[in-house]
Amino acid sequence: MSRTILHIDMDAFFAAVEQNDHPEWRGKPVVVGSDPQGGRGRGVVSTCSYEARRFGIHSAMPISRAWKLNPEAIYVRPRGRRYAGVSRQVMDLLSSFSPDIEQLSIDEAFLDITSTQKLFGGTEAMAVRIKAEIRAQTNLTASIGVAPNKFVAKIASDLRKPDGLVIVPEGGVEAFLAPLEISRLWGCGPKTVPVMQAMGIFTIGDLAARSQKELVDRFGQTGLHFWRLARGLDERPVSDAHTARSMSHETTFMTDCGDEEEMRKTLLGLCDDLAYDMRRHQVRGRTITLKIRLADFSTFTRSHSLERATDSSAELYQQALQLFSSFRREGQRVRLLGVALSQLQQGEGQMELFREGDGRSEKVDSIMDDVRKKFGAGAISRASLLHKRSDSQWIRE
Amino acid sequence: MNFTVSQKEFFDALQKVIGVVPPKTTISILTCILLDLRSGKLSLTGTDLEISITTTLDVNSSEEGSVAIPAKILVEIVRELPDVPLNIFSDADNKVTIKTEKGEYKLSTQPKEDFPQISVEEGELSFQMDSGLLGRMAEQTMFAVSADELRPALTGINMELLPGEIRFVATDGHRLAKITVSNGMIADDVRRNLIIPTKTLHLLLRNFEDDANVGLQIGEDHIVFTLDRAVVYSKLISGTYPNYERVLPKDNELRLQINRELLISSLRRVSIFSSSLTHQVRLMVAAEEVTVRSEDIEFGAEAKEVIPASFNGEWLQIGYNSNYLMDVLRHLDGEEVVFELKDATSAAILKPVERREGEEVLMLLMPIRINEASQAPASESSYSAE
Repeated sequence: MSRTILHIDMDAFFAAVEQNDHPEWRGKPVVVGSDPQGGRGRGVVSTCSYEARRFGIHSAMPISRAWKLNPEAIYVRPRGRRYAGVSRQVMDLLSSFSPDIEQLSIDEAFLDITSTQKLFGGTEAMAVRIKAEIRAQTNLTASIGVAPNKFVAKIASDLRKPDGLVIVPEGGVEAFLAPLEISRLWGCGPKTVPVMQAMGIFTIGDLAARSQKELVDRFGQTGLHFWRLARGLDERPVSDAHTARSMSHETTFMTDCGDEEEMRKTLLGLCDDLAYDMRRHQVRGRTITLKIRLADFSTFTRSHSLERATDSSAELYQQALQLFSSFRREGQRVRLLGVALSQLQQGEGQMELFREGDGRSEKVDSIMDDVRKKFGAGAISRASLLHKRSDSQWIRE
Repeated sequence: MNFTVSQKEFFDALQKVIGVVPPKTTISILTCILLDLRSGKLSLTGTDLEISITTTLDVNSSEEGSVAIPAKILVEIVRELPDVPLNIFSDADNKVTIKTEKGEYKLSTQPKEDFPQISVEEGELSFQMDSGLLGRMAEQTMFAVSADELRPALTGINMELLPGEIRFVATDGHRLAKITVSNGMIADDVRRNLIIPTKTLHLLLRNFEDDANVGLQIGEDHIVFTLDRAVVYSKLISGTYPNYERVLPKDNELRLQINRELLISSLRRVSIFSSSLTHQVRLMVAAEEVTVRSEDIEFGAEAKEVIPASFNGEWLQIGYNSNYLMDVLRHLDGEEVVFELKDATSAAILKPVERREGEEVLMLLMPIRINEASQAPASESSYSAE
């Protein structure tokens, strides 16, 4: 049966929220990210307003480059709690249009309206109404892509940003995809694109014209994946079951760090914050991934899977530290450290009989959680982190 | 090889062995059952290399010998046959024929020499156990084992042999079942811990007939159970069993006594309304009654029931996974059970009110943290969806 899937993507979400909260910033370039410190800042851009994009600024760009492009822009630090509140408002609104919702991140979601579109006067009327209601409730704009599956819907929403609405009808998927660049394919990154181009494949249409065998011979299983996507085939359901597949925290050092002690403390802080998030969301993770970016920007990840899922700060730190200690950086300084947990399971609050250690670290966790709940995230910290509390940087992925 | 046996007896024997035959394996001989006919006794053996089961039955024999027959097809044809005498014989070109009055079914066999021989060294420790007791100990604990292959020790039953005492313990980290029997079966100088695969015990129980006793023979890395008409050999799970004594609460001073059947049937109804993810139910315990509650916020459904009980505290609210709680209750004996409690976040001990002579049964259950407050909004963390 053919489906109707919406991909709703908030436009320049963080920056738009800031402009809403500070009307005087409207129409001006706003950059949400880490402190630029007059061009010496070392973090990255989280989001920027469309006005800032005209200067060539974009998300994930080093904040120092953004500064070079436009030092006059309004630079603000992200306010996670505020964005999460607005996000919740938007997601609640979307849920009222269909129960089949899958939140992809703080500012985008899939909505399967196959069974509910009739109630709202058809596909287009429904999409228009969703946009209007988001605007009415939050004064923000969203771009929506409508298609028979998730992959095409996501591409469609990106096509006419901001405030766009692109509808790809059932029979028009291949024609819609054909002229697009192959880099739009999920999984087709900077390493794959040159290989494809060397094969004479520049657009998704070029790719769709190739045989399945040729692609599988060249790319293995991924080739099959590309072949299917190029034909607009994607049967993944819209499901909220595993919305978050991983949770992570990372931080960029003020200056590239060579001090072991400081790196260990930073790791501890990251693990504390991450484990706190896990507990708050009642999830546990089984695979711990350490991310290290060295001074030369080369980035590495190292993972370890536990016997069972954890949400304990101490256990997380112990594992992260082990990964960190066994990583050979050949004397290079470290620019960024990150910790992620994946293979998430619903924590269910089900308590364990056998906790590692004597239960002390669990008690510490629960006391710290209580204080944070009452007085906010910054209210309590480990003594070892008192003088060196690195600012956790919210990076959008 | 040539013998005649009734379909029913032969099928019963196959049923006892088929459980161990691996459905999928790269070693094709393991998909066979070895039939071995000697002096009027037919033995059937199946193995997955970890566990091996041999069962014997009396047949009408006219020629001795042995063959390895693909188990699946053999079981399927014997199951479909009516209860008539089956004449089973092998011929020179390695085929086996099953012959009835009306039909003839011919199967290929595999070289019997390939069938793994389990060489059992003389066990260092052997004793006899009442089969009813062994069965009960296994059944009251097996439900609590873990399915997590990454923690192999917890997938088995921990059998502890202590002077004058045998203990079975199983746990998956959320609940624990322990049964201790002291009746002098074990000599005074014995102290041994072994972890028996749960599958072994399942297969063993399937082979119980009217046996009064089971012989246990324990070696370095294996155990052999000997019944009148069957032998079950099994490798032991290596590794250390977690120190469960450490987590047995010592200061649970609150006592809740309640009718076991009433609580089970109440849980069965109320848990229909619990979240399908957590299966969480809440027990609100007061001096003379327990309220069992659950709600599925997602579907706006809720249920509650009140059951009479007696409690020596004032008031306690505690959450459990209803499936775990029902499992534990079902595996306790007797009309009444006692919960020994401390608070909403500590392990509960459950015991039957009436005890069997020389037996002590104890179950441990960890609660689910009850979250009353709504969650704070997400912040400062990044999610990635792919």
